[in-house]
Amino acid sequence: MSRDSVRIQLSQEGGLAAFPGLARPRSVELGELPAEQAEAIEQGLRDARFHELPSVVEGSGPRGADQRQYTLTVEEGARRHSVKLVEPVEDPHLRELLSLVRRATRRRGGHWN
Amino acid sequence: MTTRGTRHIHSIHCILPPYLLRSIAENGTPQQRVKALHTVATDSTFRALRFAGGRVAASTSSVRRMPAMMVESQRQRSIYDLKGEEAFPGTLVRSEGQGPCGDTAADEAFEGLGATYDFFWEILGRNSIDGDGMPLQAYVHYGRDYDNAFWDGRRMVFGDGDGELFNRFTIALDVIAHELAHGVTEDEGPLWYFRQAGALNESMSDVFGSLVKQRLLGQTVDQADWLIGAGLLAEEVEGTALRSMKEPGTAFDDDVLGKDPQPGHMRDYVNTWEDNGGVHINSGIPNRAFCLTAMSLGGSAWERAGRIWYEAMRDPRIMPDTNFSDFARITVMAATRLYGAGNEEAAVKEAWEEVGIRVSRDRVSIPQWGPGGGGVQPGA
Ligand SMILES: [Zn+2]
Repeated sequence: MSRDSVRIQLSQEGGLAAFPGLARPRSVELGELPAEQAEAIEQGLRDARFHELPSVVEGSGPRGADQRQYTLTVEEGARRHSVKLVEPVEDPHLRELLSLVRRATRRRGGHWN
Repeated sequence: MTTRGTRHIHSIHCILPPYLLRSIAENGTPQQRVKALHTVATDSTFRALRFAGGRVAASTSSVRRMPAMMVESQRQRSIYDLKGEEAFPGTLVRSEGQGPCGDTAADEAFEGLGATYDFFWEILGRNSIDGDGMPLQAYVHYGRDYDNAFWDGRRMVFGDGDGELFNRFTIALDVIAHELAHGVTEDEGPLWYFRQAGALNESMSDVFGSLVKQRLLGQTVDQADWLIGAGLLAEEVEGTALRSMKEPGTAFDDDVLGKDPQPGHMRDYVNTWEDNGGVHINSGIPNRAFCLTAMSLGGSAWERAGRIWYEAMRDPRIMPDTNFSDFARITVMAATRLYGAGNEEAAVKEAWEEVGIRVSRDRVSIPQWGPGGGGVQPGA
């Protein structure tokens, strides 16, 4: 699978306050990233067994409030998988993946995209 | 809480004659009031009985809770440092009885939990989150550049902020109190964290968050800024806070964050699936109703307005799907129960009306709490 055809999208909602500007989904193609970063994300997807995850991954704790929810979507050609994560994310692999994707889709050149 | 679902709630509130509450609230010195409230109205005990339909079976929890009414304070704070991880348990850096540990966020969390605990104990006669001295645990330095704070059902968690959009989340006392108050609301009620019920949950946290701050600063309703999270937005951000209870929708308007989406009136209610159905958006409406009530009553917001809202939050008629107008009715009834049919009741009613929610007279004049009236609760 070519790296160029893999697109990753992250959207975020919830949290202590509603910020319309931060709720916009952000996406990145692995091919656009520095090779090292792209490899780390590919590894992260494998370690977290991303494609086998159910569509919602929640913690085992009681209810809570102000937690953020992330929707992480990976598209590889016709294959598309979306997982909604409610923090705190308990699985360390998934946590690492989320952190990698957050960094990759974050501000670029000082702006959020 | 399975007992909550029961339809015939034999309210033990019947044994608390309204004149007693009224006389405490009106005539007692602040100290007497606190004492009286501790022994009379605090009553997780009563609540437990109330929900158990008056059966003595509730005695397990009433016995467990009884000592809480005798002691002076059971502040038990622990602050943990997560050191940039998003995983627990972290390292204990400060616990009750210890002096500052030197870590700003940890010390702010410690002081903030203290101010919040003291508020609930001294003003509302409530011993911690569960009314039974529950130890308070805060976790600081969650994640890297993490722009949020939350209550996870057991503990309060604070990020450091990324420095560009947000400062550290312990910087604002009302944010710390907001998170702790989520614990209280969760302990008290079955409110879903979704749509109007969720927005009420959010609003309760803003109300108590702001009151804790106002009381610590000794502010009257006119002096208070009625902002949530002042100081939390980084310098370059166009905005003053996360929310404004007085003027919802005016807290920020920034290139990156967008514009504050909060409405302050039902006509601007936002229907959305995001943010659990807009819990942090539509909370502007009940927030403003509270602020208007407090402004109209004057003086210290925590004394009467805060008391009324607290009573309402603990009302057994709060259901998982309680909506704004249900809650408005419950606050009006709480005002009447506490202070009789006077200024307070009128202030609450007018405040709701100003945000577009009408509480009709006949629906609030039903004597829900009269002596011997421990039957079926209408509207439950
Ligand atoms: Zn909240």
